[in-house]
Amino acid sequence: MPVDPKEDVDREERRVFLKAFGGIGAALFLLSMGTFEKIFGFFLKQDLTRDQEEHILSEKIQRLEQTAHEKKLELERLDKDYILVASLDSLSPVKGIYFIDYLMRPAMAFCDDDGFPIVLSAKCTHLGCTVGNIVDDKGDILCPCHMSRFSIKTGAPVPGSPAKAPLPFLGWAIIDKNKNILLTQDPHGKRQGITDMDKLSGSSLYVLKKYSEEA
Amino acid sequence: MPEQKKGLARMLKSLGERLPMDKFDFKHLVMEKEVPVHKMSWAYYLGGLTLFFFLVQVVTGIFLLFYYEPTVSDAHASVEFITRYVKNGFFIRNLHAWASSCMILCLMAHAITTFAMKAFARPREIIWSSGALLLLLGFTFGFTGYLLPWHQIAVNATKVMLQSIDRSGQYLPGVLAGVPHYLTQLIQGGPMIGQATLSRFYALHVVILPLLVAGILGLHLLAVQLHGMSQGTDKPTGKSEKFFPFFILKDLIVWGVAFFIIFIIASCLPFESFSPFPLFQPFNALGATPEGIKPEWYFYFTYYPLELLPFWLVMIGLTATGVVLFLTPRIFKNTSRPMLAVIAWLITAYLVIITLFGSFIYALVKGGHP
Ligand code: HEM
Ligand code: FES
Repeated sequence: MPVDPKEDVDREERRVFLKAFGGIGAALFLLSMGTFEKIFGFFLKQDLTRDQEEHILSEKIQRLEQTAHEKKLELERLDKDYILVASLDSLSPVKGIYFIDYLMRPAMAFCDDDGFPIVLSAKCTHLGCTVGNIVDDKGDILCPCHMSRFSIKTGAPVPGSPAKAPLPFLGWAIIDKNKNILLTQDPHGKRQGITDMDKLSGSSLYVLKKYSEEA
Repeated sequence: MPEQKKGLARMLKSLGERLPMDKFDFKHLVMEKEVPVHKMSWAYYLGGLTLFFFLVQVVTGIFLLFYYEPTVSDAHASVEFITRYVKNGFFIRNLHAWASSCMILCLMAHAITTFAMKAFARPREIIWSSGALLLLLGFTFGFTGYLLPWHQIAVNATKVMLQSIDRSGQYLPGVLAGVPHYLTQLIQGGPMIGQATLSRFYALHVVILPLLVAGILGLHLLAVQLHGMSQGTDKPTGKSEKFFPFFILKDLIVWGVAFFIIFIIASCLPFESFSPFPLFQPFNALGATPEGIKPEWYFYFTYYPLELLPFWLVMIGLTATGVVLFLTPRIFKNTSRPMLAVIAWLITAYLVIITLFGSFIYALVKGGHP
């Protein structure tokens, strides 16, 4: 006698139905044990040791301070005609100093062999990652996203890099402690002012608002 | 006038066929719904499984909201607080992370299997297009959620993603060229990724997207119930089983097993353990992009092509995929099921290969990471 397929399915369904009932009952029991324990613990007041509490608070304060610092820089950008990058003496030929420019883009500053600053955008012209600040022995910096290399002397990408356009230079100024502008350089490299390095030491490097408005 | 009336009548009739509300009664929805039994029957569970993972996301997401703080200074620390100090916080966050991946996986499998079974065919166009919207919303959930912990990898990956959108403008003609830039600014909310971006992603992730999904999912499920399940095969076995109570119980069994598995995974396997990065540092605006930033695995299917092929080519490919996705009921109207199955296999093969071996292929072609 061939079994009627419909009846076959019916019997199968009944078996599944009973099994499922048992399964769901057991599962609900386990769930109520396991899950509820987890749920209640989650919402209770967390008991922390004194050390933990201190650690959490100090970390929180540190991050709030960092945010406050960033906000201050933003404010400075709005109401000052120049923003501080770093003191001239702290610039290095092999490790750039990052800062955020007037257009809120990352940029960095190095110093050239003759001691004058090199200031260029750090926003990769490929897809906009922030380029690394370590100069290799060929005088290039590396964007880690897709391995574009840029010469810091010319800003140009090394042939074969995914980036095709150079990193643009920024105009800058060297300003002494009394707020006197000693030397400026526009984004095209034209300098104006005192070009005697000895007379500049002890001053600081700034980027100027007027140059980013030109750009 | 009569012409217009006829047009309106035709439109209403066509809507009535797609959304047969006259079947909205106990008899049709509960008593009479049947699920066909055949070789591909397992695929009828995938939609339900997606729903299950979505529900897990809603519940665990609400839990996380009790401690998460959506500000650039506190977001990272609050997530750290959840995982380190809140009782079972690690478990809840891990569950949210694992279930999100499971949801997207089921979502993709559900779309591919319903495609192969030709479940999009007339009169199920509304089910399909609401489903396609849910697929996009699912990806948007992943994209927005990824940013919320505000760590180096996520913020930088988001930055690159937004810049890719921005850059696509240069391949568009005329007035359209400005649209991607405008769009990027709209998403970013400022000249660079920052608090405004975080707030927007937060609003999207916890309020707007869930509401949208709930609404569209309601339509999706209503239409599914009204039409009943599609045959799904060219050679019906003639067998079927009652949706209520049998199929729904089996659905619940599958949910139970899924919950059991994900419960165990989330208790002992940190989601991050599959990522190539050590513990994520908080985002630092003043620093190089860390090496090897990557999106979540379910974006690899566009990420690796973006890395390997010309940008415009990938843009054309993505646009074409989107168009085909929404026009599927029209384009594949006369395609046979075996042919659809072949296409579904090809799509699956592409997704599996690019997701699992993308970085390997990248290394072969370009040398080195990512
Ligand atoms: C949040 C996302 C989604 C949820 C929760 C969901 C849920 C469901 C459920 C519970 C069913 C009935 C059972 C089944 O056939 O599996 C269903 C059916 C269906 N879904 Fe989805 N779905 C989602 C996304 C999608 C997507 C992305 C597509 C395709 C683009 C899609 C297309 C369909 C189709 C065509 C059916 C009818 C299947 C048939 O009649 O055989 N859904 N969905
Ligand atoms: S973003 Fe710098 S190389 Fe691609």
